[in-house]
Amino acid sequence: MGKNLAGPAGALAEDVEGDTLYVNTTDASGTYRRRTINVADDTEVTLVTLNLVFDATSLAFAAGFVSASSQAGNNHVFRLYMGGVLMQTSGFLPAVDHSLNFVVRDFKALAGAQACILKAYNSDVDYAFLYFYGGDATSQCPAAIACGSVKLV
Amino acid sequence: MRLKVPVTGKVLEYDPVASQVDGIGVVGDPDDPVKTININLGNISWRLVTIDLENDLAEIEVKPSENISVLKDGGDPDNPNDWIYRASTKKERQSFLDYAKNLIESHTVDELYTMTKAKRLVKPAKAVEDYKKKPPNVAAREQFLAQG
Repeated sequence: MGKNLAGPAGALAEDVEGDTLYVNTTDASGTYRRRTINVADDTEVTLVTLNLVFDATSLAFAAGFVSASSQAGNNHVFRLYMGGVLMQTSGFLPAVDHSLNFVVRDFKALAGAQACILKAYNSDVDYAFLYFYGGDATSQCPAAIACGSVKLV
Repeated sequence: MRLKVPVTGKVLEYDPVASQVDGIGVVGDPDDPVKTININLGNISWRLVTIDLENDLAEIEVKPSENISVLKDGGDPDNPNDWIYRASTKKERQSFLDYAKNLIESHTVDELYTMTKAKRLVKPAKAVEDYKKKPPNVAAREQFLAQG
């Protein structure tokens, strides 16, 4: 990809960068200081959205980070969207009584005002709970998205 | 393993310049993003390789899950304590790939849209025209995808 951007006519420079953290505003439910999101069957839930304005010649890299678990195995996956396109889908979130970490990441050429979005999707035929674990009822849910881009100058 | 899966959503435009950089070039509607149909491919993860705007197909690079959740014998699927999370075996990983491949390739595109009740991709004629004139440089993504 560097061969496409950098050539005798130009050089690379920093474009934009940013991040967004997921703050679950609903109260923690259940025990074990756990927050629960009920995701309906065949439904996506937006966790974090990052809006940036990219240069016309920008190549962006975005990564979504989540630490969570699921009520049941083989239900939830995480999805990374960049510029209105689904770029990556993770494997299934496990059903365990603690959090596990997931990262979804990719490159995409983005220009103008675009969004990078991290979503959770329940692929099952029934609803399933998504669990985030925190220190107390005011803890932020551990999910975030970061994005940075380079441009031709 | 590569698969071609039907896509849904709404294309805003096809950017021929961007397509030479990222091998995709498609800009989707954030309110109705371009994505593969919601078909459960099982214990795999995948990355987008490119989007074929003539045939409304996403080519995806599929990998089998290295760790899986298995329900204990007689366990309650709604109880997290009745699931075991363990590494998958080589044989299981191959079966995951075989399952995904067979699921997609044993149905026509029309059947896949019907099965998932997904809408057909909405795309402006200009996007398709621009795509045909300057198809995406997929080689641009290969180096990144090869890293896994």
